[in-house]
Amino acid sequence: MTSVGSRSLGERKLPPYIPLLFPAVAFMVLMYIWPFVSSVLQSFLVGKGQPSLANYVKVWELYRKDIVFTFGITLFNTALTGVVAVIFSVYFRIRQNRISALLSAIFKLPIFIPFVVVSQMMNSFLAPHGLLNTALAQLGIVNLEKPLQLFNFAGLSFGFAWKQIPFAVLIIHGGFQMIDNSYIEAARSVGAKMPSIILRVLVPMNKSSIIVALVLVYSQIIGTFTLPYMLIGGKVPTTITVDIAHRVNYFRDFGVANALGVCSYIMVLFTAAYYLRSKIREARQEVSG
Amino acid sequence: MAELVLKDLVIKYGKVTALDKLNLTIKDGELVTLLGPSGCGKTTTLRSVSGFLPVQEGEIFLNGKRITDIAPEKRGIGLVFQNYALWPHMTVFKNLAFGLELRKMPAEEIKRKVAAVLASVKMEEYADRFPRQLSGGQQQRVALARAIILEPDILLLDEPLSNLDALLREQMRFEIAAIHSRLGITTMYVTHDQTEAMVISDRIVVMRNGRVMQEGKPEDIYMRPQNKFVAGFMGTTCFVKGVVAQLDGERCVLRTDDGIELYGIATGLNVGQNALAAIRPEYILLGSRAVAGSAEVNRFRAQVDRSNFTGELFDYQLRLGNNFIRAKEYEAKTVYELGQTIDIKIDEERLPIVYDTDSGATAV
Repeated sequence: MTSVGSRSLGERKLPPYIPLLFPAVAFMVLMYIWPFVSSVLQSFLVGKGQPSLANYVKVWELYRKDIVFTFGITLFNTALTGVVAVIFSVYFRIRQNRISALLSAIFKLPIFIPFVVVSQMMNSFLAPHGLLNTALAQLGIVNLEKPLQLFNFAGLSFGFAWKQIPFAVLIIHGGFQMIDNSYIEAARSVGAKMPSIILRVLVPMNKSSIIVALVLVYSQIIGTFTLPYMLIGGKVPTTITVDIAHRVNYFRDFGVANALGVCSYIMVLFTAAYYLRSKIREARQEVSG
Repeated sequence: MAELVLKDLVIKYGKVTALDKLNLTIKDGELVTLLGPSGCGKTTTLRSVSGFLPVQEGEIFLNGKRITDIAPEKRGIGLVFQNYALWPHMTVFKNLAFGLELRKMPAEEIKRKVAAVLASVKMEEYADRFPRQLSGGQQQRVALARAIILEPDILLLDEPLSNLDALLREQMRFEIAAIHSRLGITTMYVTHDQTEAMVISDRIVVMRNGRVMQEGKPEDIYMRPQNKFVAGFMGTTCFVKGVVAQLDGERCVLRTDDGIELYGIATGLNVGQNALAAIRPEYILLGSRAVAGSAEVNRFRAQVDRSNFTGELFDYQLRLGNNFIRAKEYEAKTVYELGQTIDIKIDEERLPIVYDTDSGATAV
């Protein structure tokens, strides 16, 4: 017995929007998903394509310190960027005067400077006889015969902070600007002082901007090559990105390079998932709201 | 006792004077409404009392203590904002508890107090909701509860009903008035809605260009406006120009250019001075109702120039000599035709003769 309106699966028509989605989906598959899947697959292949965990064994033997270093420096700099960016953003939001306007304009400049230029600047600035050590020596703080060694975690963090904090401020300050003064005034009227206003009103109200900024900063730091390459190079420990370049340039070893790549994918996986989830939630709210 | 005194307040935005030597006293437990159009200085006054706007000249006293330079968080004020400003990441309970937590009140006491205040605004069932889960009226109640939970010396409300729909606004007017009379907090209420001001206030202060144009009880402001601005701002008013011909105490006779003599009430006018009769459409009797009484005073013949039926009333435009006035007739038994000449009578007890504020007369 058949009922009116019931159809077999074969008779079902494609929804009209599917063909419209095709170009975008095809582009995504060709440009992102296929290279990503292929890279993951290749990390499990050796020789003429035999499946193996040998690449991961090599990664564990040679690069585990670098993986820990990369994860550590990324987490540290994301946290540092977050704290400093929130402080600056709050300052720009609350103190709306000429000085803060000037500072917020100057502050954005590093965003427009390419990483390779930043790397070169940091190379000159942080070198054993670079600008920083020379200036500190003139102040009597540093002896130039034993200068500060900054081509390491500390110098790298300085470079990341210099480049990433303005970017984070741009996003976080934008979020703070969206908060109407009345919310701050309401808090003050019930007796809140500035620390309470910042921690209990402004930061929670701007949580999504802060998290999005941190996710983006985290992903950018983990994938940065030029700054660690020019400051640390091949010294141990260095970052995964430098190791990948090393495996490809000197050994043409794409298997280990891909395995290192998978390690960095895993490191950004959770943050990327969070970012996508928050964006999807925002889109849903816009549609329903 | 919580008495608020504003003394010679001056606030300027660049070259624009927002408050021009404003003097105002709000007595203990009184609800005073600052009423006026946009830019009249009412919100500036409220913000200067709250401490969010620095005063350039003058002083503010609360309970006799000078608070002009005291930070907002130390003034002991409760504020209700136009947009409610409920913190969206906190539940209703948390919104109310925030100020108490800052005062290090024990958790049990906070719970008890929040429950009591929520009950007073009929919101006890909504303690766990977030502001986005509440209607506009409910948010407004929570904002009011948050302002009163700290038992402030003075409550400041900045157009709290302007975001509500007409029906809810009407309901909330009565609720705010009821809450005020129950709690007895000295209150400054800012609005541009004259009906809201009439319903809610113990006293209304009508403002314009940073100055007080008139202050008094709602019925005095409506029935006895002292200048053109106040008369025009409160309700529908038709103005007829003339010269003060006679004065006997408050009794006043205004003679128009075409010789019509209008009898009304006035304060502060002199014989021979230019003035205006502020005729309210609801205080004009038409046709047989106009001639029912024996008194001839303010009885005229006028021609129907325009007629509108709004459902509940007939709204006529009438030609009286060289002037046009409006008259509203409820429960009309007779409908007057265009061009028809009819008897009219203007209630002399409800006909204010006022300053012409546009002609450079000073404010009171």
